[in-house]
Amino acid sequence: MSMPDAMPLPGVGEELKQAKEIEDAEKYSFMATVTKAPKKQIQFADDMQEFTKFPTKTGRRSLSRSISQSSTDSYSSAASYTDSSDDEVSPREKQQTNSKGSSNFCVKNIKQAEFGRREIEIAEQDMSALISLRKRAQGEKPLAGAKIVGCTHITAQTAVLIETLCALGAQCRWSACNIYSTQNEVAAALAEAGVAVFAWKGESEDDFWWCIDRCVNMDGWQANMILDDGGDLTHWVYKKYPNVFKKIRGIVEESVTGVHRLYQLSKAGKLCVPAMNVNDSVTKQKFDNLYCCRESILDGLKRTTDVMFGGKQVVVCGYGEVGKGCCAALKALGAIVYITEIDPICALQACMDGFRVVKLNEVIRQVDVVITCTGNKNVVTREHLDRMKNSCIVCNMGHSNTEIDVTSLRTPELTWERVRSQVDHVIWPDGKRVVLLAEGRLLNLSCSTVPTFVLSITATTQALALIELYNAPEGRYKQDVYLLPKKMDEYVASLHLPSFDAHLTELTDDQAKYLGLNKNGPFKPNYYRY
Amino acid sequence: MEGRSGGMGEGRGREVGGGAEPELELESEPAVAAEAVMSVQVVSAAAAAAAKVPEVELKDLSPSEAEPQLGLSAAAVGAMVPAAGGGDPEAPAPAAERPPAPGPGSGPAAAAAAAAALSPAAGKVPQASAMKRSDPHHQHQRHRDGGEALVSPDGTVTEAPRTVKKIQFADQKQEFNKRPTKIGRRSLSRSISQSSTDSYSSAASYTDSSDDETSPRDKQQKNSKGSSDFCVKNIKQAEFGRREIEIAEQEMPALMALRKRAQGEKPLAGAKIVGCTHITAQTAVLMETLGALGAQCRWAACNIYSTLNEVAAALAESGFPVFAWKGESEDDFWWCIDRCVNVEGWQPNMILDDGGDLTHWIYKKYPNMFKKIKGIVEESVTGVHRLYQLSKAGKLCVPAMNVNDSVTKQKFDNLYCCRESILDGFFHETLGTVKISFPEIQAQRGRICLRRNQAQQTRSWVVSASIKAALCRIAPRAPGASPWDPVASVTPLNVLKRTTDMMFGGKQVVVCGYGEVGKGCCAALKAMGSIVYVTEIDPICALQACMDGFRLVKLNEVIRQVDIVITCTGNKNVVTREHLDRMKNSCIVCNMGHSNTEIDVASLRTPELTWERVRSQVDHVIWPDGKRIVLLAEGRLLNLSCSTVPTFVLSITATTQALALIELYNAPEGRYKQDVYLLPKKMDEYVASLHLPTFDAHLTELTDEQAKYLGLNKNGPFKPNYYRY
Repeated sequence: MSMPDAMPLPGVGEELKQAKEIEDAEKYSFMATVTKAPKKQIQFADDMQEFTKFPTKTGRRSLSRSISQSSTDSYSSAASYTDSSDDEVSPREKQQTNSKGSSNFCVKNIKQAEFGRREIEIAEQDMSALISLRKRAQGEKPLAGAKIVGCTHITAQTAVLIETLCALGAQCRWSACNIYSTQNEVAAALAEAGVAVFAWKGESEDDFWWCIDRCVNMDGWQANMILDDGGDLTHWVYKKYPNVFKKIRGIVEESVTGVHRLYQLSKAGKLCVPAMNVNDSVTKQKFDNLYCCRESILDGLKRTTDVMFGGKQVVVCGYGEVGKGCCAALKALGAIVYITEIDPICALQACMDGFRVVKLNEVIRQVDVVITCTGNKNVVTREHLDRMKNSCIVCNMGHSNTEIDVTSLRTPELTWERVRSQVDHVIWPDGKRVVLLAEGRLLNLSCSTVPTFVLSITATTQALALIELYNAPEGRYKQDVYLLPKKMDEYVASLHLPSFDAHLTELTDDQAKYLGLNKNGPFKPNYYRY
Repeated sequence: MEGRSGGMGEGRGREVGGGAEPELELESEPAVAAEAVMSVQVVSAAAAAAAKVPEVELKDLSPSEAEPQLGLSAAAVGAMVPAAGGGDPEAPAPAAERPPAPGPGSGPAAAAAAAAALSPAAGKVPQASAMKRSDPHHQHQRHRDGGEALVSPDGTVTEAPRTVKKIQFADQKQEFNKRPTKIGRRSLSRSISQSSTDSYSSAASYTDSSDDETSPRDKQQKNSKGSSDFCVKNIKQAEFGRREIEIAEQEMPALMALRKRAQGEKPLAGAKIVGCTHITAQTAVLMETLGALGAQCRWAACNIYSTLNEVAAALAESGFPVFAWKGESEDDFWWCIDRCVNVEGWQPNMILDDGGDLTHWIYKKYPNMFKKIKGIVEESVTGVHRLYQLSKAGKLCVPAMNVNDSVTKQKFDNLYCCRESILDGFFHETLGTVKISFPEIQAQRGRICLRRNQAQQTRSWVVSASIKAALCRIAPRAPGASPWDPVASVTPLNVLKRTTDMMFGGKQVVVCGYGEVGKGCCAALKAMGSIVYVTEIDPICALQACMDGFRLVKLNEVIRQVDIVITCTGNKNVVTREHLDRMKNSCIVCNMGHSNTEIDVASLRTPELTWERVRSQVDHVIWPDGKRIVLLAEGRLLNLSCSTVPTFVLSITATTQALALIELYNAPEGRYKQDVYLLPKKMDEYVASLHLPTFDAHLTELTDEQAKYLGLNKNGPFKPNYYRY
């Protein structure tokens, strides 16, 4: 998205007029049309949006930390990037009301709502599945009576999800799962639309928990569904409000970290609520991780370094879904790609797809770009960095920032030069430079965006999981962690086909009988790997 | 893959793997409730008895150890050297049964010289060998001609003594399928699986008279050791079959490594395996590996047309009780199986099956024996389906391993096999057989496979698709030039225009189905520059196709404009008479799915349509208005009929089978219950790791710290059970 220059705030008279526009806009906000709001003066912080939709690959962390690492990720360098925001006052101390007079929210600046609304509309264009879900289910309101407390990134795309849930009848209270990922204007737009949102960009850790608590701990309102990303909300409710936890009908978790925590709980016998693991659904694994990274690796590298890919030697560490996506994109642009892998099956896939499988040591001197996506730690060590050639680019597409040993570069003899936002040159005494992107953090969190369409798939999956858990009869789901039913995965996929003008073939009765399948699916056994 | 009843529809999201903690090694219980049709058990690494498996030290077969790439084995070389070091080229060599020399002494005078030239060249192995069919003196004796043309490293062509062996082989095209790439779900009312009689109808029309008309059942044959515990077409073909096996061994490094690795400890000592698979060079390598690991094997064929007679002969020659020949009748089929099982003083304790017929036979006829089986390894979809049915009915009293749904089979065999063979099938059929001279072969890296050219009734060496594509650019030779001139040529029977390397480029192709087979086909065709459309019924696969850049259409929408139609759905009647009526002139129609029901071929056998047999496996169907479509293999599996499948990919599957047998055989009592299991992931990973050296791939190892961080064992398994690769 383009970044117009910062402008002063509008005057008061204009504000009233715009408030009316906002109201009108709100009435039609659930339709996928563009509102006729006047041009607003838009002000926003200058730093790049750092956000991740979903952890693309997360290492399995120990549970001794009470807050998941992903929620405080990007702290160190964002702090150095942030110019002064609109003001220095913490939103917690501000009294804001939206145009309806409610102050049941806490965002940076409610006046940004208009701009946020436009962002949401842009996102809606590419999230046709959620919109069609709204239309389809709006009559019956499958989430009527649902009280959802959510903790995900707050961005235009997730805002479409939140508003879809509301359109389906739910009441939502939302906070952010990452202290830096909130788009303030989107939060404002949501608050304006009446969703109880508690989030802003640049929270402190204390703020983080305060926001979560405001969502959960409200008089006269008790959550009965949880939508979580990272497991922090679940953790909070489980620890602080065990009674509330017991009454939850279902948890929908979408990150690897959160799923890991749920499995641990389940194993310890302490999970008293059914949970859905969205992270390991087909749609998430096979689409989000793969295609997201395929699109965003090039985006991230181009935006930060303007590197030409043709003829460059690139080593990609890891050939999971993220690695597959990255390699495909790089190969398509003419790069020479090497792979490192620990898993022989993935290594064999890489071989058969035409990539050389090497050890990092073998190619480190000759490659131009190093990309890590293993989920592991210390894949690229100081030794490797010492041996890289001049101007080698190093970046990370894995979720955790432990893949590249960045701290090993903070030694006296190396000079760090901030070239541009998210790009550092690390200079050796002999003049050699290494280009480090995003300080080793997730590249598409910091340096690019992710395709909205792919997020649409995941968001639709989450919505359907919520509907499923909410409406399931008593006893259908036990206190365990479930994967999505395949029929649901298929439904999500089918909602996205119209964007491609794809025409699905239907089985004839004869064929359905021959194959032993139901015409409406599911079409594959559970262990089918796509 | 079954008719799943009610429970799946709404809420049964409980996935077997989903309850398992990803990084712990649990033995999961049969997790599905009663309403599930099948129970899929995943045995974790902890259960894998092959604890020795990950510590394998692999070493590549160094060139010095390896058998010569093409051509004669050491034994054959030795055999060709006359024992007395010279003299009579007609002298039969020891250790091999030689037929009497054919007719006139047509051997070249240089035979003795050549033999002598060979003997000091034990290290200088012949680079290639082939039938010397071009010798104008011997045109009329093509079949009887046992001569070998040898190319020594300096490029000279010499000829070995002609009488050393006489190779005879049937003329019909080799139709064999290594693995069913996609099988429709058939009802179980048939006692014989359809795959075992597949290709019957058209092979019968292709068959010229075989070597003789007597059924092997009536023949009394002995191998060179004097045993007659086998039944093959002609034991004398053993030598040639041995060479085929050696070629296959080159591309199956994992099995060879397994042999070396485990030969000391003989993990299958005491195993009595009765097997029913296709009998081809590749499966022969598997069988001999099992033998090397200590097992006693008795084998029959799972398809009445897929046996390579010479390979069966070679196996019989080396002592395997093999009961199979190409062109069995259905009665023969069961007779062979019975001969394997029903033997005095020998009772099998393991079954290796492809299609489920052997299992079915034993289960029905020898229930006592069935109870004593330690384990069944099943590799086809049909067979697996039958096993699940048995298990569901509570009648499966033996643990079984489902190799078909292992990662290695699904993700490698189906995908890469079809990716390679779709083009191969086309090239072979539509371009014709490409004859390559040996200097060309030497100049190119690549896989060389044997092909039969029925029309010419000769053997010719045909290279795989990757080389063919390059060779297409080479100009044809003038007619009458010697085939051994260093250029490639195209056989004159190619009715379709001789195409250039733009054959696929720009063509509009519709691929029906985007499963593993479809993915492989589409990738290959797209790489060749075709415009590819996909049809699908499953929205997830459809979405994958969209995101991979293919238009997702209904067949009706594109049928008029496409040049090629490929089916790989596993379904029936995907391409109907209506579609065929609307196709454009010269549209090619073929099937990559396992069953031959995908294209409604029967609907074309109507009076107003004319069928023209252009060449083996290629028919033109002509409408009254002159429109023709090109039907390949009469709608049967294309790579069953018209090409082969890459040996390397088969190596992966064969290694999986071998390991599954070892696992089941050595598992302690009670480890496996009477159910159908999937392979432990550690085993899948081991199979993959055995194949990496071929690519000179260097696997990275986890440091201790990293292993702890990830919560993984350094030796694997590296992924949770539900990981989809």
